[in-house]
Amino acid sequence: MEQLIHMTATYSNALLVAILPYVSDFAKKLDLPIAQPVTVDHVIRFNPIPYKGHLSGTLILTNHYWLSFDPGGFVEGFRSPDNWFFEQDPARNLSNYLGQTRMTTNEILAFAREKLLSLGYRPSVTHADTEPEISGPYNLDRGGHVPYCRITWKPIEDFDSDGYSEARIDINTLNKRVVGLHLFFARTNRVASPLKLNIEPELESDYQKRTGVKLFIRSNAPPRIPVTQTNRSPAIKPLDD
Amino acid sequence: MDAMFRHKMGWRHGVGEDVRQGHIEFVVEAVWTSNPQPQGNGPQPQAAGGSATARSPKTYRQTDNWTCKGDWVVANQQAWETTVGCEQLDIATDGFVQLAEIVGLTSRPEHEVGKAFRIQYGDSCSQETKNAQWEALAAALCRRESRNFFYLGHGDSTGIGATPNSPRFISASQIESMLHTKPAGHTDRHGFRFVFLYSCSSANGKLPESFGVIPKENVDPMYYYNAALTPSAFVGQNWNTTISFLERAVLTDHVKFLQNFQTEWTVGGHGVKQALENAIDHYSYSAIVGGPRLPIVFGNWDLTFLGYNKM
Repeated sequence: MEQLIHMTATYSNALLVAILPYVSDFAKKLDLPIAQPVTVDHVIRFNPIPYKGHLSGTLILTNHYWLSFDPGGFVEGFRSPDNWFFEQDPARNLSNYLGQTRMTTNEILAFAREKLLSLGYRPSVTHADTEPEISGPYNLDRGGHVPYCRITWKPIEDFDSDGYSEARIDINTLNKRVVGLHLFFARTNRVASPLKLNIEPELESDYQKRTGVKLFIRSNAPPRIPVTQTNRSPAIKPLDD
Repeated sequence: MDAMFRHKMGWRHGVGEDVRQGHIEFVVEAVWTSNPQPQGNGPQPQAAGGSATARSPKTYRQTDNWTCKGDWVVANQQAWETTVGCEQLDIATDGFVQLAEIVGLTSRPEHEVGKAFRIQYGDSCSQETKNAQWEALAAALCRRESRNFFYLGHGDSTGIGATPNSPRFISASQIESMLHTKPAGHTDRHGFRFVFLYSCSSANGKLPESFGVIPKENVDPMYYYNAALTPSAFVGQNWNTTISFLERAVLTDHVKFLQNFQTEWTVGGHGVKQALENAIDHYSYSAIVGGPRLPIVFGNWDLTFLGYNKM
């Protein structure tokens, strides 16, 4: 069983500070609109993985970029706040994404491959020299164009295989910008070295023994205002009801 | 026949349906029923009544009636109570309840604080009690607020539970009937946002569709937009799982896998597919009987823990 650590600001901050150079380097290589170097002042939220030996976590920057640091010692992905593929309310916000694609399919593919190479990942690892799966850009049925494209190089090995790897890049094809990236490499497919940290976190179990404090578990969420529940939608409630 | 027949014509929009697209459906609906008075709350018997809807013009857009943020239904069948470590399965399931409640979402059916709804199993419990527990689970699924579901227990490709064709089994056809997910285009559709069935062969049959999840892996977000549907995901297995070792001890890899998935999905903020991949690859397992396997994910692979969980 994974050993849960007692999360402290000291540990969390130390881990964040250790991760930030990787984030800066990653943002620079991808030419992301993120101030260099990335410092703690640019971070509004850091979520460290609370297990012993898992030096990883995700962070959100003040410009709402989300980045994820892999326990293998590399930034394994990011998404920008204007990534169509993660838009939470497409119907409402569609107009923010409309535009024209100014790249050909070949240019999009070359751009995606170039970005993987700029991060130092060769095709032998990512399989980016093979044919990818392409989603978008999209012509809407009711007119309009969403200039976002997702290039995915699917794994060519089984998940259980050492050679399993996956690479995906989301591109804004209007202004030729990477808006999302996801890399997944099997643990044995070492593309980097795991991070090392001088701080040894205390296990949650040890902390509880030492202090007698139990993990806080929130009680039931407050019940909602009682309403008459049926399985029929209000939208088709009979008009004469 | 003691039946009432009613015609209704009018302009309509589903709750949560985007009205700014200039897309208005003209609905001609005919409803007939043998009993004009509803029999209390909850789903009504379907056998004697029915409905038919004809719409013009024909459209592939569907109605996805969300009334509020999606709550959770979390339950585990205690089918391995005689094995060592069975409580670990309870704890792994409880994690989903706690995560839901931490973010202010209610988990149903009614349960002890911080614990999932338990469905008892075996001879130590009366059939009436077990039937009532399954009934409570079905009722929780029917509730309009319920949009997320985790279940751990027996099941097969046709439904969840150990005894098909009994009150202690919820079949895919029952679910699609309760949730109005099939045929597509039902005006009373109640699709689920996230379903994770940790039961044998749950991804092999029609369970994903019955919950309203598109039974295709990695569905493009634009599909959901065009269909006016909320992105959703179904996580299931296309194999038969061995939960215990020689029926003596629970294989803790299952517990670890579920807990690691919870961590990666919530703390990590990853999409469901990646969270599952990370849960397997970033952690060590005892690998007795092969260790955990990567489940099948139908629908939207990028669905995050809180993603699209709103009206």
